[in-house]
Amino acid sequence: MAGQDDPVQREIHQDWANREYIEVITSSIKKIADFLNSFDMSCRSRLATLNEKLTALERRIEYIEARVTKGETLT
Amino acid sequence: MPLVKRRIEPRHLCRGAVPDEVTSELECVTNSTLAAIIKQLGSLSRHAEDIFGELFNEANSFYMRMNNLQERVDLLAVKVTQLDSTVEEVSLQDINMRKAFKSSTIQDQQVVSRTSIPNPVVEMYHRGDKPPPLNILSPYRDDKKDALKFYTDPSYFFMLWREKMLQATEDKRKEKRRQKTSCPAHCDQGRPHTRQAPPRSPLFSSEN
Repeated sequence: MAGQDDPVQREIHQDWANREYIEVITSSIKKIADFLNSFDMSCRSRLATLNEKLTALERRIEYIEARVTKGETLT
Repeated sequence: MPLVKRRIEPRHLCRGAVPDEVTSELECVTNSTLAAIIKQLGSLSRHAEDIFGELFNEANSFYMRMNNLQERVDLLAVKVTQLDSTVEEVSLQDINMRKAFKSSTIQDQQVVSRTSIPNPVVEMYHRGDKPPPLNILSPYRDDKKDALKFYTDPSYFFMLWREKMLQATEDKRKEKRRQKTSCPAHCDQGRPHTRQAPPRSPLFSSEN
């Protein structure tokens, strides 16, 4: 095509290609940010569940320890 | 208004002004945009490191707790094998003299305090404007109060709650004294026990 020889048109085509490249990079950055947020939330919810289970276990162990050990008298 | 905890800087990629002496403006804009993208990647990696650091610290604390629990379970397993019902002597008096079991109820306190503040919020706090230096006027006050506290006082809500609690305990004490002096003989018969919940901190008061 004859228009391709025009340096201005070539520059504009190159600029469009650059902008597409920049758009791909910025959308990838947004995807990474979304992934980090969702990973953070999911980890926190799992850690909270783990915390609950740990607390319940600790209370049970404490009770069993009290049952098994010979208690001290009040006097 | 919710605060944005982590912000990726720079927010805008192509908004810088093009210098006057540049001939190929399109290339200049592309290059400055790519430079801003690299800065954004740096900011993103810093935030990612912070996120993983927080998760690691929490998981680490659970690991320590679990280790502790494992040791206790091992000790218990050994102790249980050593139990022998034939050897153990139980006298009726001793059963009543034993201390009753009470589990340790540990409540979390000062959850939202200066020590537990996350790093991005600390940075946001330091980026904010400082209050005006009104404390330089404090020596000129007659009542010797801190002049800045009239403008902004971080401890205001805590002091308010503290006064409410002190007032509540004082009222309860006066009520008890009044009940004792008014009817000492019938104070525990037929009088409905009114349970008054202690006033909670104003930070958690429900809005009606």
